[in-house]
Amino acid sequence: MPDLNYLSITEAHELLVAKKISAQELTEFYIGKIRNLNPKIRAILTVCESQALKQAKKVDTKIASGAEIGLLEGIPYTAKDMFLTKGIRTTAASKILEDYIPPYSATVIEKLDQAGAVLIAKVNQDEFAHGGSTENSSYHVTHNPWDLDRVPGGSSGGSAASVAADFGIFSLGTDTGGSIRQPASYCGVTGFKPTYGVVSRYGVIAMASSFDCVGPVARSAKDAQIVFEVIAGKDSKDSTTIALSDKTPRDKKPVGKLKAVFYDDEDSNVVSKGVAAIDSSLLNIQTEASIAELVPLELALAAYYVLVPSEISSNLERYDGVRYGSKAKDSKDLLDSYMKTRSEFLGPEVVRRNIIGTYALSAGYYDAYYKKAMQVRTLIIQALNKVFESNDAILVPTTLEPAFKLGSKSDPVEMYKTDLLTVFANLAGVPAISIPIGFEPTTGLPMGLQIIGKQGDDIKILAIAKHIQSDSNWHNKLKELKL
Amino acid sequence: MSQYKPTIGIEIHAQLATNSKMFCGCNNDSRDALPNTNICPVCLALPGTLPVINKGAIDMAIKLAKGFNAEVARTTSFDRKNYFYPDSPKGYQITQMDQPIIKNGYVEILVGGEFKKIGIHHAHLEEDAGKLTHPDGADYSLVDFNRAGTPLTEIVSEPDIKSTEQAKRYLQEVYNIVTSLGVCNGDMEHGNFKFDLNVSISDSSTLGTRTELKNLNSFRNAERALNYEIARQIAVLESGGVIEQETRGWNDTKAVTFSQRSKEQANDYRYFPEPDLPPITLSQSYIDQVQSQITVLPIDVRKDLVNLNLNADEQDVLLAQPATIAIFKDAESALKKPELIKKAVNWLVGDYQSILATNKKPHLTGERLAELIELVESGVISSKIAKSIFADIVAGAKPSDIVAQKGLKQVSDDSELENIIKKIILDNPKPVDDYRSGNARVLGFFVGEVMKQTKGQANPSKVNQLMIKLLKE
Repeated sequence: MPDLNYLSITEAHELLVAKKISAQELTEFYIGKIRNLNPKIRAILTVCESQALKQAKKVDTKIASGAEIGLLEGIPYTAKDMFLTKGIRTTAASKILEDYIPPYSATVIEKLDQAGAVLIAKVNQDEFAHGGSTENSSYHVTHNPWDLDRVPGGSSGGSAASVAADFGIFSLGTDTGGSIRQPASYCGVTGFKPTYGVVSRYGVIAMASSFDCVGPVARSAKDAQIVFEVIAGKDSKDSTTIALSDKTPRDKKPVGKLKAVFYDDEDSNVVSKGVAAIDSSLLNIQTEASIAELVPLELALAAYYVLVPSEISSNLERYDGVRYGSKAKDSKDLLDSYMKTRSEFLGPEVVRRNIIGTYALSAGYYDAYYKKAMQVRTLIIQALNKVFESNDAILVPTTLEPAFKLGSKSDPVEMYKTDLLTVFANLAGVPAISIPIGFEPTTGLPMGLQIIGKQGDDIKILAIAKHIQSDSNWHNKLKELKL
Repeated sequence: MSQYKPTIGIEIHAQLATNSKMFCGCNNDSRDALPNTNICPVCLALPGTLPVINKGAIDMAIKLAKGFNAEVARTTSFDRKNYFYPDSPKGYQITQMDQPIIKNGYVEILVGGEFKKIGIHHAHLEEDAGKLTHPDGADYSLVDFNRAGTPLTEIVSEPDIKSTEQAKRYLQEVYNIVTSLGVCNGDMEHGNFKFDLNVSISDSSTLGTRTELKNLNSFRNAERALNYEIARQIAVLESGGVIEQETRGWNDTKAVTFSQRSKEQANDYRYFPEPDLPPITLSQSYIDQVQSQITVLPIDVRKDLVNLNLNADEQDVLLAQPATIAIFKDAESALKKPELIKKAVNWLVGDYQSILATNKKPHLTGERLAELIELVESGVISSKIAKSIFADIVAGAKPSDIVAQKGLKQVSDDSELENIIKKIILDNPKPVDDYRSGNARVLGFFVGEVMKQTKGQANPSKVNQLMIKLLKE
């Protein structure tokens, strides 16, 4: 049998087509890998072995019949536990959905299913995606494959860790304020947050509806694009979806001007060095001083932490113990049942955000908080529009530091600050990708570079990322990981 | 004693008669459905579900705007109204606050023989909640989500209503509009049309503190509740008290209003824009296209009926039945002459109503009603015959067909009638003598005999005329 470790989508596809392995063998290989190595990483919440093998066998039957197979057919992947999967437990890493088995699947899960991809596991995350380290999972923490004492980032920490540890060839994540890009950066993988609305949210547990984006976590921009093009598109069940209209040629060198801007901080030196090393004949990159001069980052972060909790406080009201999910016992009346159910089964960060959001939307505070924050949102959009008038993309670090130690950020505000460089893309709804760009010398941990484009330029952003990866090797360093 | 004048504003909730619910594809008619059978992941608010706006509801609102002489908002959007209750599956209701679809309209009501305009501040779209039942003695409640997500329009009046009578007329007129436009089934027993009444009284130009009478569902109760509440407020002020701003309910059995919730206990609904639904932009051409489907508005019919000198009760009978209005309008355009149109109205508010009481599937058309009236008018049949065949016409028969089929054509032919009359004179010497000796009353007997022998088909005026002539011979 060929070496199946760290295959790309295309490599796995070629092995399947050449019948060097069967889809079933590939699935069993990944399930075996999860069995052996997940106890160290703890990225997985639920392994869907029987469903995965069933799907793999379907692909094998198709191959045996001599029919051509698509790129994703037989490709094992993992999905964050925010995605509803029919018949497979879906928890959002919350105790309030501990035994919840959905009667339907998210649109994106259905699309991947139809494309023949094999869902092998649901992965860990911060509860309801509230967090940046996956430490807010109600089940267990997840360890960073590069350093088991460190967090994988979050909230899509299970997605990033499972791709870094090779528990799947790619993963599906959600990004509300950086939840795909930040863990991708911490785990040395590629994470893509598309333009808001390009990928359906139907069947994805809502965090903040006007921010939530679904996107791939993969080991390269090339793989991310393959997955993205399958899941993108208008969905009649999600009124906020739009068709993907980017006409950028898929495999040609991207042309245009890119603006590299860095945060004024020594830790970003890894990233600036990485960018400086990119061959200038490939991309026209001009470096400027500071991202903070272009985008009011602190305002963006403040507005984000008003608007997102506001939407959360409303979106999470349905978890009341009445129709499904966990319900507290021995309550004396309706109010008592609500209070006990939500106190007992929602974690502290979820409760905190619900309280903040409820407060921000309350009569007398709405104008001072929610409305003001919406005005900041408009400012951010305007600031970015201005940058994109003369530039095709912004290059900026994904995070200021590499992955931090488990338990080291007990102050919630310290945790919120890890989103400083990612949230503005969500406020503006623009596409952004994080790719590995180097290693922080003292810790040896990966750092990520974000490439941010204007709304609808998803394919262009992916093309830029692919070109950087065609000329560098940072994304292949995963293969040297010893677990 | 001061002269207190009431000021009333009304919020009406009318259920929209769409095929599917407001934000999902579930059947919107659950009258005969078992509990929790018309439900889906969306209206149960399962995790991950999203609303999709029902275009049918938007179209109905566009039509309503015309009925309310109102603007259709070119951009309309939805908001969330947050509250925890087991009948509210999402924990919030999707409604419209900032940009309601209908605004700045009015409804004309007829009071004391004059038309008065009552302003419509706005009307918006929203979804209904589920239905809770509390079984007797049980330590649990049951919830049925069949109704959850049913589209509603909330119609908010200006405080232009100055009396109980005006309030009643306003409710009736809005009811006529929503039912005649086919927007609402108007089944009040099933809660299709409910209202909240805001009432205050004042003896000056400054408005008094208002109370809100919640959740009334019949015109009669609205009238009783308003009369009670106005009297109660007067009594409070007269005795030196103050009116508390509060929500009050109506107890039908005791015929009183009672305090439900004070202003301090009012919920904070934390409204904010619904992020799952982008605002809708409506073009003028689309609005025109939808509104062009409206053939008749009840207010126009009322004005026609006023011109025909029909009284208010007769107007209301007709206006409360959209299908009957349609028959009337068709008959009106076929008949043209006011005296004949009035006859059509007489048929519709008289005989037709008694037939409707038992025949739930009438087939009367305006065209056939006009034909029947013309048959009488031109003397082809008598009005008595017309009455006797009306039920068949309502059942679907064409008037001229049934007249021909049953041989009911009026006998107006002189020689035919003369033969019959001559024979009657010969057969009845005694009454003939009576008549000839000056007793004119026996003429009735002879006419009756002719009618008997012609099965009512003789033309009565012709019979009279010939009978007098022949008796004198």
